[in-house]
Amino acid sequence: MSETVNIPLRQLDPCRYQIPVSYNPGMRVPGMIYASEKLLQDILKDKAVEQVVNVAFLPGIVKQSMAMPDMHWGYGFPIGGVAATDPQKGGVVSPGGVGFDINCGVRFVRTNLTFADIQKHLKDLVGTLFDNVPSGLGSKSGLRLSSSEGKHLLLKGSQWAVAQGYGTSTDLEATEDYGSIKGANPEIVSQRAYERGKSQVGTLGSGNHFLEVQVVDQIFAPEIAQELSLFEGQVGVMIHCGSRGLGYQICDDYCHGIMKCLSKYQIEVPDRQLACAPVESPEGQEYLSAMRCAANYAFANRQYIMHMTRKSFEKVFRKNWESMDMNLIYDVAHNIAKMEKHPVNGDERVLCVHRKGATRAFPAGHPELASRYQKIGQPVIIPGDMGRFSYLLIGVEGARETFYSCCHGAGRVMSRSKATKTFRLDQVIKDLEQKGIVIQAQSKATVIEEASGVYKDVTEVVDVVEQAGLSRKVCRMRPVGVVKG
Amino acid sequence: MKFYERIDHTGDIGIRLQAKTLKELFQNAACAMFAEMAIPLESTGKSHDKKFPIQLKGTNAEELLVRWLSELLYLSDSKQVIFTEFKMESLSENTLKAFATGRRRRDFTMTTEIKAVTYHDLKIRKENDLYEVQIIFDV
Repeated sequence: MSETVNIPLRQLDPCRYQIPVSYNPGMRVPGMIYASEKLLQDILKDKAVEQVVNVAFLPGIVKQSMAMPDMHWGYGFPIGGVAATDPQKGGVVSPGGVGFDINCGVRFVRTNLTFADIQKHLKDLVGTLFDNVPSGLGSKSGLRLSSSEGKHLLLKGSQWAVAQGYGTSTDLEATEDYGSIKGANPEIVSQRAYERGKSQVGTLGSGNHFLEVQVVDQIFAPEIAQELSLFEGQVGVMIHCGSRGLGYQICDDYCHGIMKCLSKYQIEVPDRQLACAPVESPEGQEYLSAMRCAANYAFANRQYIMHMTRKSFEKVFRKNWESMDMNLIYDVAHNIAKMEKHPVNGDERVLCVHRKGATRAFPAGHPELASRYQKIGQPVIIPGDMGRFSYLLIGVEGARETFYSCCHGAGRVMSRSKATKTFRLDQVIKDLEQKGIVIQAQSKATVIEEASGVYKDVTEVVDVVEQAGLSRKVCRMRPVGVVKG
Repeated sequence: MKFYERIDHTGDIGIRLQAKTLKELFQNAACAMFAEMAIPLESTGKSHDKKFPIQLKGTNAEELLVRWLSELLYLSDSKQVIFTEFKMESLSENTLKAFATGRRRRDFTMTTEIKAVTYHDLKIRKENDLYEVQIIFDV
């Protein structure tokens, strides 16, 4: 792995490092890395910092090319990258700034059960979840959609799922964009994408995707926790997945098409995976319409998986989910491009905000939040690794400088091939067992590649975003049951 | 010894390989991609071979390589096939005609889900009569 060399980093405060715009003549804005001194040591080991520089080349980029403390080497954008472009100033949209797994995201569901209530049922619960939520490579859903239903799903997202009986309208209020991004056009989605996505609604997938039974083990902001009905010792469920084959195919279809826009619109980028088109061009608009279809698919996917999670709890505990208070705390997207209003030099502008492994974090009073979050701000869900912790944060006004964005997870620090050489399956499982964590996975390789040690310590990551004033910690959750692909 | 090497990429999977001809480079890249995705089961009762014709166009060899591998990923996912043999009928800088042969996924243990082929750091080089390329896959 090659190191980042010769890229000057100017430390502005304990968690902000700036890359001056003068570093490379192609940069239109400076770079900004949010990290602690300790996290920076790992960040400098791969090409992620170089990718922050590359993103600063994008036409119309506003203010700075940013990366969150969970950043690492990606393709095109770094993972953890945030960039906003101004369409009125030639701003572009880049499929590489969203990624192949469009609207990969996370949701957290609370219960009124405590760990003591579930402890003796834990193996049964994890087994039931593993049986009911298809996971693993090429996993297929029990749902079969007709062509017209498929189109409706892409148009309406979670709203489609709720209309089918897979949830309630309250779930929609607790989902980014109410689970349905406007401006999706299912008519332009390729047959190939439909073909890949039609049997995967309600499947977890593989890799870093998971479903975890967690226990709230530390509260940092009691007044916010109380508003969200969260308490110490409480059981919740976290679901992490995205738009499956449909999203990969849509991104692939448009990556090839948008490559031609580089010469058509005379755009120069240092990495072809940053290929892009002006937001207001026909190509840019078409990509955004198709991307929104995949985003809606991912919302519906997580909604249906939550429905199956509720059914699993009902089966194991012989109570209905409503009586177990299995309400959605929030659902966030962390691979997406959104048109959002933000203040720029005193003017309100509609910007195209790319979040590639970064989470939207709106503060209290933001007009796009449902009424129940107006007082407290948007819940921000940060999954860690399967052996340590995850966090729930809340959006704050300080994140204005990042276009209300913050980190999305712990961030990998070790490649999959190194993980395979470093960890052994029996030891990984034994370590989890010693912590009282029950795991069921389709693939042994996945368990090794997702071992705790391949990730940064998520606590260090969320401490940086809190110290930088980008979000505030509400509570910490520890995993007790893990379902992996 | 493997006919390709893995590049240590933090988040994704990267491979590097060499070949004497461009045709061989394309074939080996496909073999390497499926070697990362699946391991054949040793059990009997294997399914019949499935053969797919593939014809593609690109503006240069690198774009054509990404399109070739992307096409195979699409076919693998949608037809539930793992490809093991590749025959390049013709290949120029911007056109490709080939056959890919494989078997049902149930004859394999799936190891890694490759979501897509990226253009990141992709460069086909020719040095000392050997073609070399590195490819980063999104996983």
